[in-house]
Amino acid sequence: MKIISKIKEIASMFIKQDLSYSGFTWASMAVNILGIIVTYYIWMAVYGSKTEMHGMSKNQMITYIILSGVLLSGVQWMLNLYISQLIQSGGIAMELLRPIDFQLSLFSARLGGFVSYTVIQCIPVLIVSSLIFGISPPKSVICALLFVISLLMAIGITFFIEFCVGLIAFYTNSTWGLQHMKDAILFFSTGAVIPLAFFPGWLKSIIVILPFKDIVYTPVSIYMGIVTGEQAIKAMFFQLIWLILFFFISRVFFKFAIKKITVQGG
Amino acid sequence: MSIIEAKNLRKEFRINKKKEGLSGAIINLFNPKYESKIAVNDINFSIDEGEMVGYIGANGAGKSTTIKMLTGILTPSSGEVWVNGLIPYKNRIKNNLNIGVVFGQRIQLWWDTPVIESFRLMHKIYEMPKEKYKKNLEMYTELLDLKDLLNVPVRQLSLGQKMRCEIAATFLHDPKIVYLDEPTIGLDIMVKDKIREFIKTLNKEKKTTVFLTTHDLQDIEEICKRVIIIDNGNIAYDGSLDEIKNQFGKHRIIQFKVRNINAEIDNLFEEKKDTISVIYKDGYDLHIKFNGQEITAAGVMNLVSPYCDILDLTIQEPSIESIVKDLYRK
Repeated sequence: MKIISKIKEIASMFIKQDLSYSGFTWASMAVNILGIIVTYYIWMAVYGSKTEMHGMSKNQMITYIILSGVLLSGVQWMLNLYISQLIQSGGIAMELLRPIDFQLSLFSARLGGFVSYTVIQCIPVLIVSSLIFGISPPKSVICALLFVISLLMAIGITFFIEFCVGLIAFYTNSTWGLQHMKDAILFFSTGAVIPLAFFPGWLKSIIVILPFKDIVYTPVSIYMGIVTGEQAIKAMFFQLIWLILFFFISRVFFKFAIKKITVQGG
Repeated sequence: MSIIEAKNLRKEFRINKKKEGLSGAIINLFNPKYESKIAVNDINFSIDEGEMVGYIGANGAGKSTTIKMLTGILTPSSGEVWVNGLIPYKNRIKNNLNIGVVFGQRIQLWWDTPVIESFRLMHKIYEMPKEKYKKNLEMYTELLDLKDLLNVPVRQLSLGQKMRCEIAATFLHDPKIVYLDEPTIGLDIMVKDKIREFIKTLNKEKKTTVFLTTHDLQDIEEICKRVIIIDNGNIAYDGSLDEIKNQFGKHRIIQFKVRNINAEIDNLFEEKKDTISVIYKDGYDLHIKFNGQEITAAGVMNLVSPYCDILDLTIQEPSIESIVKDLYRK
């Protein structure tokens, strides 16, 4: 129970921090909405007079694009940047002096960040864009429930991936290049900009094997009912496997990386 | 019973030795050369509960490395260390519950939120009972005069205000041991005084063990009875502050500004070299080193004044650095 209250307290600390920059909040909300308007018109142009492409109607497409755009920026957290800053500034020493596991403390912070993102970014943006463009609600109540679970797993997977990328800074001191590579990979292969159905066959078969689609494509397609029933459960099962796998990878990597700091002094 | 115990504690770092210039940079890329540097060399000490120990030495002497090993964020290369019955680098998180650390150049408070939020978070993550938190918060607010600061975001505080809050945060969970790494660096005399008073009070009332590094001799004089001096990774002295001052701090220096200096002054002190000597003479400057126990500053002036016109003078107090230097020369 003590651990829960620690997590809660750290999470709420980060919510407060996020809320303390109101200018930033408004600006990023504006950017998000602008981004959605741009993608909306791009896809309108792509569809032209067609009403359906690759089995997706115009309206489905709009829902998909808006939802996945909001999701992608919601599940990502720049954690790797944060960790490499801690290393470069030496602030990592302060973090290691707190009476809580470093990764757990970051995860708590991450949860707080997600809550504040949802409240001050996600929900307003979704309301505005559904008023302007129209977003379909979840296919059914079950879809909505599964979506929430799938989304939580997506947050976890992204967290562990970002955490590992951040740990590389323990060795290289900076993850600027990796950061951009990771962003590019996520941008493309999560299915956030282009739905998986639109990829050419060979590329699709690669992306399907990779874990990145579980960050955006899987939760969104569950929400929209693109995958349902047994298929949805199966997709979530694979998500869970990736989640556990990345958890272990990050733990093992962390053990090694922390040794590097504590043995060689960073 | 000793609360901190270090036995043959040693830390070596592997340092990438880079060659100079562009070609050196390229060679280094393919064939990096390493050399090991001993930061802390088999040191031994033990500190009792409730003691306040000053740990001093020049920059790069190994002070911070020692603190990092005692707090568990560095693993020793060899040797043993126990803090409160735990081996810190093996039980870091558990050990963290018992200790408080101030690094004068870093900040543990959360930057964007009011100070009180950081305190609240400390209260939770250090698993403190609510009553204790309230009681301590009240007491520290009073002692360090934090009343007007609690609701200000940390980033808007001045250095002195920040440090007062930082010190309060460090002591908030009643740590058994507090490590202070240059806590008064860059602070004005008022704030320094307040912080010193605070540390002394808490040591008296809660038996907090204090391990302090500083370059400010005044800090040591006011807080610590015991001093450990480290030089080049070795312990050069471990004992009472009074003794060290008698032994090594007796030499002081007067810097004169003079005119019409008589060259005979060079030979003036030839017979009593150990008591008084000229250490620097150039144009208007004349620096005289003297043993404070055998001759007073006024006495030195009387001796010097027949040989020149004294325009101005300053008396240098013995600094930690000069004591360390003295000590190491022996």
